[in-house]
Amino acid sequence: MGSLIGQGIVGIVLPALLALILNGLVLRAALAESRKWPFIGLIIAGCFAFSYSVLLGGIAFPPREATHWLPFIAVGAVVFGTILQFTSGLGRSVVRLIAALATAWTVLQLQIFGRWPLPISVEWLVAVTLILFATSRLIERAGALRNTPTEILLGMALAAGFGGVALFFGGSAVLGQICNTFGLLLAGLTILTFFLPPAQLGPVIPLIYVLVFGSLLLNGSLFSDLPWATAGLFWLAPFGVLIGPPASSGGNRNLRLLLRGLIVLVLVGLAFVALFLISPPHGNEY
Amino acid sequence: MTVRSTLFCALLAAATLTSAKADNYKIDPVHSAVLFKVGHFGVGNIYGRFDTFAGDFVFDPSEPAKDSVKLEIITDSVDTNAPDRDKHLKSPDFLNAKQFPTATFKSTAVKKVDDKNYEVTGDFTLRGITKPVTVAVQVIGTGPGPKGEPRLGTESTVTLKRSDFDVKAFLPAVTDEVELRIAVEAIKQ
Repeated sequence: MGSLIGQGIVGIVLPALLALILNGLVLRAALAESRKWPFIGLIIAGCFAFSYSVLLGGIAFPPREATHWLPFIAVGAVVFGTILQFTSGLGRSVVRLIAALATAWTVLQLQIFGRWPLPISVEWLVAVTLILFATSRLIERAGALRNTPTEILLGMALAAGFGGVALFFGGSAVLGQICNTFGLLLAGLTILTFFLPPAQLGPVIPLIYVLVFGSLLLNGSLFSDLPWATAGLFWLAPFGVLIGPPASSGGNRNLRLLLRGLIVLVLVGLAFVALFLISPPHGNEY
Repeated sequence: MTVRSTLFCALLAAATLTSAKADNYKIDPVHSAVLFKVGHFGVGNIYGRFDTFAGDFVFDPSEPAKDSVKLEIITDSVDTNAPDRDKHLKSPDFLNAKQFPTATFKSTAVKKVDDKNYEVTGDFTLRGITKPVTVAVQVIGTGPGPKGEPRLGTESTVTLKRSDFDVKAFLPAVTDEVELRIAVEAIKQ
């Protein structure tokens, strides 16, 4: 038991604390805001990769399984997110589409080769790519129009954190722990932006969230027993922050944050209801 | 030597040659088991089994060099008498059964230790990783089965390191060493 607790401290708590401190330093640094987010993204991705390495006993290279790609997807998302940060127009959409397609490919490739008929594989690849593309764009754009960065981050942190619990009950304890870490990393950033509010969130963090959390949910549903309905509701959960009056309308920001968090939690609750209805745990402790 | 005795000798020689020929056997899954044992928190051992597997082998006691073994285990059939644990074992944390539906063993060399014991070296593939392993095989017995069909029974053991096959979740609380025990009754084809 001691070794598992130790692994949890080193693999989950340590990267979360490290990211909290480093992201705090970056947010306080005298840098242009657009330059801060790539650094913050790199810290999130680095801490996520570190957590993955501790919890899974190392990073497999070259990746052979869909889950092996997770740390590479996180780092890749920072690169693509940074390019997005400094790109505009059609080039921006192309970069986002490449990032979404690459992520969909890494998760689905083992199914595509010889397991599923080619037309079904292509349909899946296109569908997942479009969902990742559209979600990252929606979170970034709609969130920027209606929400403060803290509100958007709160939605993402709650979805990822509780998504980890769902993955745990969905059959994969390690994927669950990794997802929990991801949720904690975002939660730390949410707290920081509450006290050090930036003007805009930008594309880096939403892209990391969409590609990493999307891969985790896809892995859970394709290769473990996370019901698709649960994964779908978790995917929708952060959009709960879009409900309600826009942040620009003024009012009490703490109350607005609380209400938006509650709406996200309602969607998270529905996801758990779906999980326990479709795949009830047997209650046998092991 | 008369014609009759010559014919008798020829038939005897032919019979001897036939019996020395390598025989093909197919594993009878009803009378066979693939079991595993793994240490849990340094306190006890957990036993499990794979319910679905298939295999065949070529066996010639007089010429072990010609012997060969093939075994295919369906990873999704893991059974530890705890459904939640089985679900976890099938997940990417352990066997990753959806991406890697089978574990296989193919022999590359067979060495006779004595009349009852053999050392079978071969390639074991789990989660897409292939490693050479040496399995200790004991011949339990041979003889006719319920329908008179010739049968051969063996029991084999091998200890694997799961980390060699990238199965690293919950190390060292759940031990790295996994003992596989394969008890087989095979029917001569």
